[in-house]
Amino acid sequence: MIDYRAHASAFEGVRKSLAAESWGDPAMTAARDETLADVALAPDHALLGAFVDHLFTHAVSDGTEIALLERSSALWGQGLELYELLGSARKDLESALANPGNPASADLFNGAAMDSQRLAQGMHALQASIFSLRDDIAAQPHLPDHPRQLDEPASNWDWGNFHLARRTDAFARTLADRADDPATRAFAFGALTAYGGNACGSAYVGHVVGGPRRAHRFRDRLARNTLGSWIAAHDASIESLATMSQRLQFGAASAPTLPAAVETLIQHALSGTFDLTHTQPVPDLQLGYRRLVRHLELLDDFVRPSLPDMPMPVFTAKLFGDPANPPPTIRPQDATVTGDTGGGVSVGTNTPGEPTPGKDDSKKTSGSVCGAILALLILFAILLVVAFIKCVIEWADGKKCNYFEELGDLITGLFKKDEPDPRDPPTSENPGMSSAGLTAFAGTDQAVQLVGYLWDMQIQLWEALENSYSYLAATGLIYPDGLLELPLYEQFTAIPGAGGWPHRPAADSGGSYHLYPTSPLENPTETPSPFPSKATPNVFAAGQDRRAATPAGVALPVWEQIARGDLDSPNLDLDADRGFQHQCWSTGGSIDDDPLNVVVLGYDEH
Amino acid sequence: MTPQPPEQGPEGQGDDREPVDLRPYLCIPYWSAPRFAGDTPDSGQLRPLPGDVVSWLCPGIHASPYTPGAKLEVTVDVRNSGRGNAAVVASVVVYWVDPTVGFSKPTLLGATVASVPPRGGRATTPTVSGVIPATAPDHICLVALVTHPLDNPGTVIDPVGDRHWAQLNLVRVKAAAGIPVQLAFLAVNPFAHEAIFEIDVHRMEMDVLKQLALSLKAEPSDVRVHVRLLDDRAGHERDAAARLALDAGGRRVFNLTVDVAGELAPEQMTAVEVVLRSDERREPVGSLGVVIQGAER
Repeated sequence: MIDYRAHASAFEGVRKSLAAESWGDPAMTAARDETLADVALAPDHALLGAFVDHLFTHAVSDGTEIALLERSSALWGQGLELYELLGSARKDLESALANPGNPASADLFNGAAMDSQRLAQGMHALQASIFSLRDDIAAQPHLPDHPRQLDEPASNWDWGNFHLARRTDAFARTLADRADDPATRAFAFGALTAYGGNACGSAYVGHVVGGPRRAHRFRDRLARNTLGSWIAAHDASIESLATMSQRLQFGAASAPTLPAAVETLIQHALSGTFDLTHTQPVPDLQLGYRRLVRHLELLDDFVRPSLPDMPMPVFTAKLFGDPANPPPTIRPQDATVTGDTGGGVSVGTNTPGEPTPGKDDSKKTSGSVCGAILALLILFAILLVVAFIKCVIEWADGKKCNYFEELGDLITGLFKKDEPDPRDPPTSENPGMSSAGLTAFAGTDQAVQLVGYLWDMQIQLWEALENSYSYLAATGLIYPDGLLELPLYEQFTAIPGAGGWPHRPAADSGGSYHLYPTSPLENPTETPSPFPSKATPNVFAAGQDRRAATPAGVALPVWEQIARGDLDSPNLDLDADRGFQHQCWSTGGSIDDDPLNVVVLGYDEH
Repeated sequence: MTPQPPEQGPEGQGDDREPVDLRPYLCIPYWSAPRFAGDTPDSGQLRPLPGDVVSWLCPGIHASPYTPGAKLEVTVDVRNSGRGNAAVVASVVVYWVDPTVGFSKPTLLGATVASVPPRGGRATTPTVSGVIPATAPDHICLVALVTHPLDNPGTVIDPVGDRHWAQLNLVRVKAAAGIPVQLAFLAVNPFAHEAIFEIDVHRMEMDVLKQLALSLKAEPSDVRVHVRLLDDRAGHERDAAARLALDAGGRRVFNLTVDVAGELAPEQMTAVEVVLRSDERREPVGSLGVVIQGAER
């Protein structure tokens, strides 16, 4: 099963390939023209068809993934707001300090002080929600076990997994057969491109993962999302996920609804393809549709912030003018604390990392570091802001404030304790700096120090957001957009060299999915894909070469057969569970048997 | 090379019970592609710089043509070989200095930030620009610093020995036939204590000169050069080497004269390198290059 962007790419590849086809048979040409006209007339229905597998998956889901993403998105938005607030407070504060004689500067300074307190309060208020979310994501409940791997009989499988592994070709044909107007025909064509996209894309994913989705669900999700990011980075025609979401919204904007004709088409295609007395009940397609639309929308919420502005030139010159006296930092230099195993520490001389996936890439490391950085940052913010407000009276007298002077030592001492004591957030208090006081303070070293500390804090906040983004990507909740060069994701963008396939599930799949599996092979072994070593995702995503293992290569022969009224194609397993072009199969015995008894199903069987 | 399925190391790469040091490991790279089979791009680990790397011509610093009194624009490449999976915000600071073979009083040109991914990630900074005063000499050096609160440089400007620092000389002179090239420079003690130094001036070896010529889009010339050093304090001329004692942060002016024994065509170049070594460190503590090109006819 591939992601939204790969499906969008597959759709476009198959459509272009169909448009380029020619036959001597006028009936075929007319059929082609009708399909292309349908897609042009109802492109959004076609896109919805291309996401039919995701529609089913959302319909049978318990809603965990959307719920986690909703919480993540909300916290991400609040984090961005605080980041912007700090940027704005810095700007005002620097402006006031650079122009202390300006009558408006004292108010600007006091406003910045108030904003800083709001910042520390806001960060403190978010802390519990962030840690709770991190812990809830850590178990990755959004990626449940595959029923085949649990030895469940197919009749017990949810429709998300069932429709990818049973009568797949037949379902695509039945959709096309029952579609009777441009919109439903466009939907059916989209579903056919999804058939081709999944058959090829899943083979690529399974190859780079080291085994099929059912055995490596965490690693599969990481690879699937990576491919989506890769495709978006290499194909400018791929729309944003938010745009896709907009396109899929039918009916009232406030309550998008799966078009009745499409819902009916799917229902008829299911009953025409499967014996529904031997399956789970057909899920609520409207619910799946609403989640699909929302999921696409949420995925685009995670926009990384721009970097913090440098301090104003006058302060930059003071902070960096003498390399022998670097700007002060409020980060402890000898140790940072995590409170979690697997978290980040920094003791002694640092060393370079490895360019290959390793323990740096584990979910646990990401989560611990994410939490540790946040905990540090919140404490820094509270201590700094408290010091800031406490010192205003002395600063206004042109004096050096000892409390501020000792801030570095205080913080270092604090973090020698694992974990540091929590601190209450500051109260809101207008420091009441006067114009005369500001003038007295503006020229002091501590004014420059304050500017430097706040700049350092905004950098830390940027890095905390970056760590959160990294954690959400590493747990498969969001796309790793912008992270593709990191070893964790880069491993999925080139086919590995020869090696046995598929691997059985790893003993600790939740803790080691960032690594290529070294678990025993599942016999009989198979060839995962026809893709050569080093091949990048465009080997299947380009999709227009119908002779190759591309979506067009799989989908167009089926389209032709539908148009001619022929039936001579197998049902392909759309997870490429036993390799490319493997047919739908059932387990003759247990999934843990060695060798596995792979029973290829007849065309009509499920 | 065909990529192989990655394998877990004997120590178990998946073992996340042990903590991971996630501080950045920054450098301004002196080479971005392997220099020979088996080499890796510059991660900053190989410091002091190896002998075949020209310490005063870091290709990671990109500068617009320099004219005193005009705006100079600089961008800097940064590499982060640290661990983890999240980018850090690196600060990059650019200074300019009068030609020296040790840098004690740099002037800030500008500073900026760049986000740099770990594990060998690279970034190029936004443009840092500034106007170097019209009173500045025709020949200056740029030194750039990359830093992060959790990956700090030493307090000595040391492009040879400290991965956080890099140097780019903007010293290029045209040599007319029969007219010696003259250049004043400062020998500066970068240490916080008195030390004995040796200045060595020599024409660059041909193999290094060839690399340099390639980057400058010029032809290397094997023309002979004769160098002379005039020590301002001693008031007499020396050969191409000198020993001197300098107090902490101490400095001494030298005048360098280069006689080119022959004629350089406009497209040809040679280069003279001034290297300052201390008795306590075998590797240079500073260096300065003078690229000499043939004058237009």
